[in-house]
Amino acid sequence: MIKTYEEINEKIKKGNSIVLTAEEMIEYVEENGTKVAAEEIDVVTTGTFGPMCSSGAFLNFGHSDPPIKFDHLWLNDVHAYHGNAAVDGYIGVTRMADKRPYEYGGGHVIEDLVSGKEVRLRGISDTTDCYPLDEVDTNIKIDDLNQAILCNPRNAYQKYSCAVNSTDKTIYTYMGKLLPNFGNAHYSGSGCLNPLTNDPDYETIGIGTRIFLGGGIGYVIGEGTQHNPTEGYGTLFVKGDLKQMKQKYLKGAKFEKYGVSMFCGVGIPIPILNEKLAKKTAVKDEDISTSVVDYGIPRRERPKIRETNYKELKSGFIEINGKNVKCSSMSSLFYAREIAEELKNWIQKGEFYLNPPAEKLSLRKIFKPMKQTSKLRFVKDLKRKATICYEDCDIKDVAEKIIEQNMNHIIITDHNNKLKGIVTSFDITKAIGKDKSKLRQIITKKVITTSDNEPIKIAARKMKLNDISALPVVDDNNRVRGIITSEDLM
Amino acid sequence: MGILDLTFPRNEFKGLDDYEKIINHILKLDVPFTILKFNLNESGIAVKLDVPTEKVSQVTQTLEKAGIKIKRQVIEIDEELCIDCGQCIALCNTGALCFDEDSKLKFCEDKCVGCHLCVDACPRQAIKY
Repeated sequence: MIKTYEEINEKIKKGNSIVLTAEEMIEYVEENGTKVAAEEIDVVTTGTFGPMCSSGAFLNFGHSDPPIKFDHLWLNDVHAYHGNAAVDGYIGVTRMADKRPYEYGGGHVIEDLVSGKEVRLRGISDTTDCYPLDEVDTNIKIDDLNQAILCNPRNAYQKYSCAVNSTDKTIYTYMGKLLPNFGNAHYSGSGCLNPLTNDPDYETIGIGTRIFLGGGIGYVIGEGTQHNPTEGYGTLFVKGDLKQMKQKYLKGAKFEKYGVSMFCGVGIPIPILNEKLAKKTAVKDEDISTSVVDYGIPRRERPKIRETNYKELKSGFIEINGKNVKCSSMSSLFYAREIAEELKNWIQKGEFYLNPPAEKLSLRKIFKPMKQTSKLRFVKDLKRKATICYEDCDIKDVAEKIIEQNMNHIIITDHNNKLKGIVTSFDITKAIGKDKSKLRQIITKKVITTSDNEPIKIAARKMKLNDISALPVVDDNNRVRGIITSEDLM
Repeated sequence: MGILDLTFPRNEFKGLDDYEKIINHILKLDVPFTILKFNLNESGIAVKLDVPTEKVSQVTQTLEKAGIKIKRQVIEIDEELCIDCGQCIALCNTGALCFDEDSKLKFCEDKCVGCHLCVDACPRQAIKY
């Protein structure tokens, strides 16, 4: 070991510590090598500022008179969690407001509290002998609370995958709006500035590590939920005093047709205790690989399109199937830099000291999928034989088939069984009413389809969203393999 | 959906043939559109079209090439709300939204065609028009 925490803290105290941000460290190591860097540099600061959905705050409101034990409580119309003692509550950032969902949520409540705004607190209770009050409706500010503790079960992903959409429809996800046919790509994280990326063996970041959190001081209190170190997707469980934090680094967010969240600023200092840490903190964007993942396939294992790295992602374009696809970030690199820079200033000014972790984070934890006791059913399990007419037949043939086979949907194909459209019994009625005789005048050409291996629930959602009652089942070559109707799903 | 305010200039479009050419031009793009308004004024024929948001820039380019004037409803960025995440950048087809050298969001108004694809996608509701 070249340096100890005590030696580094002694230098911080004297005001002569040498601190670099993780970006500056890259250049320093390139010029001077890891040996010199390990001797000269005391601390490397990191930073990230992105939407962190697993975030929220514990709040204690103090007791009312007469006292109340909340059964339900709302802050600015956002339902908070109440499963603790009488006047404790937890406001989660992804909870949407009852009246303005998709626009305002728990993250916005936290932002409003931190910026000193008044927040409406409403609570109801069944009443007890010791907590007789049934209702509270009041306005509070952060200073009126006893405790306001930001407590985030999963923050600061070591890295994240890049999201694209292969389907022919725009999809709305927690990775933002993804345009059809690989129309854009979204990634998250600050790459070489990401905290855990700079300490991938969790040598210095562990339980008890003092960090920058939301503009104030926070602590790592454990591995984050879904901590997945074996695949390089480590996460952190963090907490800090919300009362010290700044609105600049906690920003409520909404994602179009998806929901709400909060951007949270996290910065972690890494003490350069040895040469290996000097090398690790000089990690470059091109060395941090991640996958481009197709969010168009709504399954747990989304198809990986290719591997990429943060250098390519930050360039603004990634190549997919020979096409240059515009790529941008969910998180803010500008703010990530500000965080690393601010933490650096705190240390240089002697306002922030480093401490060794009380316990290390797991390097071996496996991220398990959910155990589901009911069997997943697929389209192939419930589909039936489709009634098919060729595109060149006439309306009368179609009408006959509808009567003969008692089917509401007739699938139209070419002679090679390739899907060309769909006709319903209503379309036939309309054709007769409006005196149309050609099949192509009434056929619906843009058909929403499903496939054998699509889960039933996803096929059902397609029908619901598009307000239709049947989906042709097609194979990869658009050949018709059957039909599934809403009646089959009952 | 994106709203396009078009004017077919009075002097350049005279006969029915000219209008037909233009409409055929749009039809060739295979873009469904709704005509919301169609009226005559001193500068020509004013038409309001509603086209799918992701097709706005394509339609705009085609029409501008044909000499049709398009009143663009360009966006505005509220810098107080913007956090420079850049989510809007990959949605912007014309490069009107990009990063400057400090990774701060830069908006070039002259490149904005008013497709508004970015407006609802902004997590901070910082984009308005």
